[in-house]
Amino acid sequence: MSDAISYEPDGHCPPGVTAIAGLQGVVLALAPIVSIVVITARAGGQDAGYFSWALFAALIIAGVLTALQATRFPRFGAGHILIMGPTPNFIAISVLALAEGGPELLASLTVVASLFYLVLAFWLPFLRRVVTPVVTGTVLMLIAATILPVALDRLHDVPADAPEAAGPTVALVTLVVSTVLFLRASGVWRLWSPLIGIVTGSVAAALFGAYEISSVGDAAWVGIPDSGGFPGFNLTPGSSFWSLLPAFVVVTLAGGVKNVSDSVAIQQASWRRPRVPDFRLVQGSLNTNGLGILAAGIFGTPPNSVYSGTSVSLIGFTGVAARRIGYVIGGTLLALAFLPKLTAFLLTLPSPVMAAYILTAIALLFVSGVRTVVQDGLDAQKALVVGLAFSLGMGIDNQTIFADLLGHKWGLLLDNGMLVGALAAVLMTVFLDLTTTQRRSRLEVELSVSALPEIDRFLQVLARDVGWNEASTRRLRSAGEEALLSLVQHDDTGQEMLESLVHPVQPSEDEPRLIIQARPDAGMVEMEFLAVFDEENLEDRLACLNEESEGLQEGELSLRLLRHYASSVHHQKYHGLDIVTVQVKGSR
Amino acid sequence: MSAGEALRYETDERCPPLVALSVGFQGVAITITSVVLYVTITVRAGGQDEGYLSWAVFAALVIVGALTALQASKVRRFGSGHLFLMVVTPTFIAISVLALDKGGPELLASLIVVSSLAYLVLAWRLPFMRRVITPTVSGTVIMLIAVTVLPVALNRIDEVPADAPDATGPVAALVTMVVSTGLALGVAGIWRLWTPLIGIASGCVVVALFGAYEVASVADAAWVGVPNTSGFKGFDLTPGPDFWALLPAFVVVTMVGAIKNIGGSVAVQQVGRRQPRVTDFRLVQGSLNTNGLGVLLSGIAGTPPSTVHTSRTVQLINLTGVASRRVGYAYGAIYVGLAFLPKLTAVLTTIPSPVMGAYILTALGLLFVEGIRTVMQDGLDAQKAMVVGIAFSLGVGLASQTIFADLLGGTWGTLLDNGVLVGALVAVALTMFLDLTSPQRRERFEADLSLSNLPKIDGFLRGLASQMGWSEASGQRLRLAGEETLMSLLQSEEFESAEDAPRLIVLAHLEGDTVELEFMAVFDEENLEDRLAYLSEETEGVEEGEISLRLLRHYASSINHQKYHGLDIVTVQVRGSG
Repeated sequence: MSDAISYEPDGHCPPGVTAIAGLQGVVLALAPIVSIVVITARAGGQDAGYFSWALFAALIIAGVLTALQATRFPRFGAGHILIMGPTPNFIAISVLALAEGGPELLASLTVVASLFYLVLAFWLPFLRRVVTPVVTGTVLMLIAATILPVALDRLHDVPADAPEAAGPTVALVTLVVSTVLFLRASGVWRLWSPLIGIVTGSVAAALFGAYEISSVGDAAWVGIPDSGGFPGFNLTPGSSFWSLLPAFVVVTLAGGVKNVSDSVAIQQASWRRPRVPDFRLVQGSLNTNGLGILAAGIFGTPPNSVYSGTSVSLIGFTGVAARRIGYVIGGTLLALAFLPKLTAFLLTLPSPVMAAYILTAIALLFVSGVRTVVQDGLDAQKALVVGLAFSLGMGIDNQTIFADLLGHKWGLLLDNGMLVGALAAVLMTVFLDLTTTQRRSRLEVELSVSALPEIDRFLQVLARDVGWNEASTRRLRSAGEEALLSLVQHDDTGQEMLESLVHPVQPSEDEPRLIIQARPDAGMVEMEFLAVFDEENLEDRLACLNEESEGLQEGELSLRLLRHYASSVHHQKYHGLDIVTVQVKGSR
Repeated sequence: MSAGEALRYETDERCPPLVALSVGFQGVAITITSVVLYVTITVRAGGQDEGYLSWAVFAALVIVGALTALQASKVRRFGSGHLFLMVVTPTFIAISVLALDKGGPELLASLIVVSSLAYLVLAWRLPFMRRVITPTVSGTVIMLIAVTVLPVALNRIDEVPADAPDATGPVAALVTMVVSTGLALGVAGIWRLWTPLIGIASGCVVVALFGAYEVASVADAAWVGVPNTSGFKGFDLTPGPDFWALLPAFVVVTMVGAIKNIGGSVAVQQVGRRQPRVTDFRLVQGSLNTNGLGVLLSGIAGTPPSTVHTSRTVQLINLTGVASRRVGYAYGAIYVGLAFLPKLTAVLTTIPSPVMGAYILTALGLLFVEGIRTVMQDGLDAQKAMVVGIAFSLGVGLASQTIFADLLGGTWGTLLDNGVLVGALVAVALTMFLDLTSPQRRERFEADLSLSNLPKIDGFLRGLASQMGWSEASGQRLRLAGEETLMSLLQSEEFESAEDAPRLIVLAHLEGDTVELEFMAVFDEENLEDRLAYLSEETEGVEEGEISLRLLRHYASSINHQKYHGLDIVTVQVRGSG
């Protein structure tokens, strides 16, 4: 149970708390929104007109979508605080697109990539087998590690006449104050710790004469940028489009699969007691993300994603997970788009202060990757997948190996560490999945004692296939029978069991289902008995089972007899789903 | 039948010489890659020449051989008295490469010698060191080392003869990586041990196909002999900024290895006997001292450090059923013999740099995962997560910057721009900050385990209740819990059989509205501090919940009883209110 949550998503927090937490969310989100747009536009060689438009559009899209994520509209919205904004994952390829074909090419590629994102939602169960927690955790760690230098580059971003020590000192002060408060403060002080860190850093910057507020005076109070920055589309895709499309699709899909974890993670982080993830909300979150990427493409600004690290950090920092915060953040970002003076004021926050703050956010993102990677356990093979993918990604990110070999276009693409790391992790996972030596057998029946003869035949065939002797076969069949009886008893149909033994009946249409998945090996058969009491969304739930933590109850069944036959019995309970995993050893 | 029952020869039993020799050869077969390859990889990835490589391999083989024989013996304060295979440790590859890259073999030698002292410090101050070098700190440092060394490894990929095609390096590295990874993921059993060699051989074939494989030096090498001592580079006695920047990483890695070796030494003692015995901590100490000596000798000889390899030792004993010390002597003699075959070293020196680069990339990946595992070892709450995240981010971020060099210039600038150093310092500083500002208070009471001391214990507990500001009823519950625990311990059979009155140590942890009392009844005081420090390694003899604690359960919110040989620990939590 997380005692740290003061207000859950459905809770009504007081307006003051809402405003404070919302403002912190805006402060957290504004830096990456602005910096990613600035970096992408400037590195892509674009002018001030495009930059003003791109920032305006990015703030509007981020505001609308953050508010939409907080809602639970039909098929849209995560129902939780999920801050949206331009994603750093796309910086490298967006810069490439801008450099190759300007904002029109970026817009076209983003629109097409968004369609792939939306298709992802339909193929989620299949993709979950490939893009496992090992893959998503590795990508999260890679994103954190590869954007660290970009964050720290902002340390030097101080006025020319400021002392050389200004940047590092200001960042250090911000970092020390916010970290120490985070580690030891509690209650209301914890709520304020990030803002106190930022204010302290800003004071330090002012003492160094490195705080510039002149731009605030020049900015208008209310207004919209010149629409001359709106780029439109390139409707005649050329070679640049086709060469960049695969990279856009891969990065979009990698981000999309990560967003599934993000959505589950935010659901876990937002409640005091962990709950079964609601996959309709996961679906809603994915649809909203897809809509965001599509909108970004249409308006010609860098693609959006969920700031899951920031969202989790905000909830972690403040202890407030109320949906209202999402509306406040969305509304404020939307308003900021039309308030150049306020935007200008927020932009006066010294870069070193923001650098320290981003560093903290990246730190939490990295740890979230670490947690994701280990959530299913790390055997030797998974360890190799994580290790090699991460080291390849990190190593290649600092090199120009492919650029030297293949030239600028494909070279720069393949020298992107995050892309290479993600691809390596996916490929190795697919390889492991395809080369698994275990054979799988499956039987689906109704969860009823009347299914016993069918299960018995299935297990007999299984034992014969692995060449087991008579005694081992009998043990396997007995284990199967006991597992079935345990599950039937568990369904409170013990009486039915007794009756059916005396008067066998035909199963009805409404009986719960029993799926048996057996993995036979020479010395052992592992059987997974899945009793499905509620089939709604079953495939999604099985695909995402690893994300679920709630409802796990072990050892509740009376399995005494079963333990005589099996070498290992494991029972997991989910809402509407019981899984009994039984391992039986045998010999030939 | 348990593994212990399957033993044909126990540690102290004399197996026939032929058996010893045959098992010794099997031991060499499963460890030779961990000895010769790790040295070769470190030296080649560190950009050193063939002269140094020949010397380093020679020295490593001799040290591994001599120390495995020493581990098998019991010479005063040295030796584990068990078959305990020594190898060159992969944990040091990354930082050794960095040291070689920055300052050559002299810097590596100096760093290893100094860090070997950490072993001695560890043996003396284990409980304190464990409070500072927590899994959070050591895991973070391991991850940082892996990330920091990555660019060095990747730089090797372009190192091919000038007339070789541009694609030679990347293609050879890719083939090495794909083959070794594919095999590691797809094969099982004994084949897995050989995957690195098969991967390296495949990479060499690719380089040969590109016409860039140079084998002339193999023919020139003698069959038997000692390498030219010019490969021995001595020490750097004028430590510069690189030395100070790398020293913390070396010390942390040495400590991490040492702590693991404690667990390994306990495990090997259990595996080497048919019937489980109480761990002999003098032998653990002897094993640690021998490891420390191995690190020191490696430093003096200027070769990457050696250490024990628990899993290979256990594997060998389980496979053969032979745990006799004689195998350790045979294994040692075979390694020393191999050191005098220069042709073997010559073959290794021809392995192309891109192949080595690919191999070290995989090794660094696994090192990074080891860091993750270490960090997760004790769980990762929000505070530890912050410590890991901030230390890692600062370390990685600063490694790509010249912030301090620009500000401070010279020695201090270079030192503070070292990511591993900064990350390690930040992790240690934040961990100590958490430790020192912990709201938990600790109190200690010590007396003879005797009913006559009940008034003293009662007074101690009354003082605690008063410190907590508890009400009369809560204070009474705490005192009654203490009394019942004492009575339970006095009923213990072991107490009745003890000749002298045993000692009772009560440790109280005060936090929030709870007092946690740890009652330790010490029947055998020998080596007590060591035993308490190593307690987490002991699995044997633990029995829980055997004491009749019915009355105690009325007063306490939680009770836990652990029995070790000569030591009973009852942990009682009592909640109270003001």
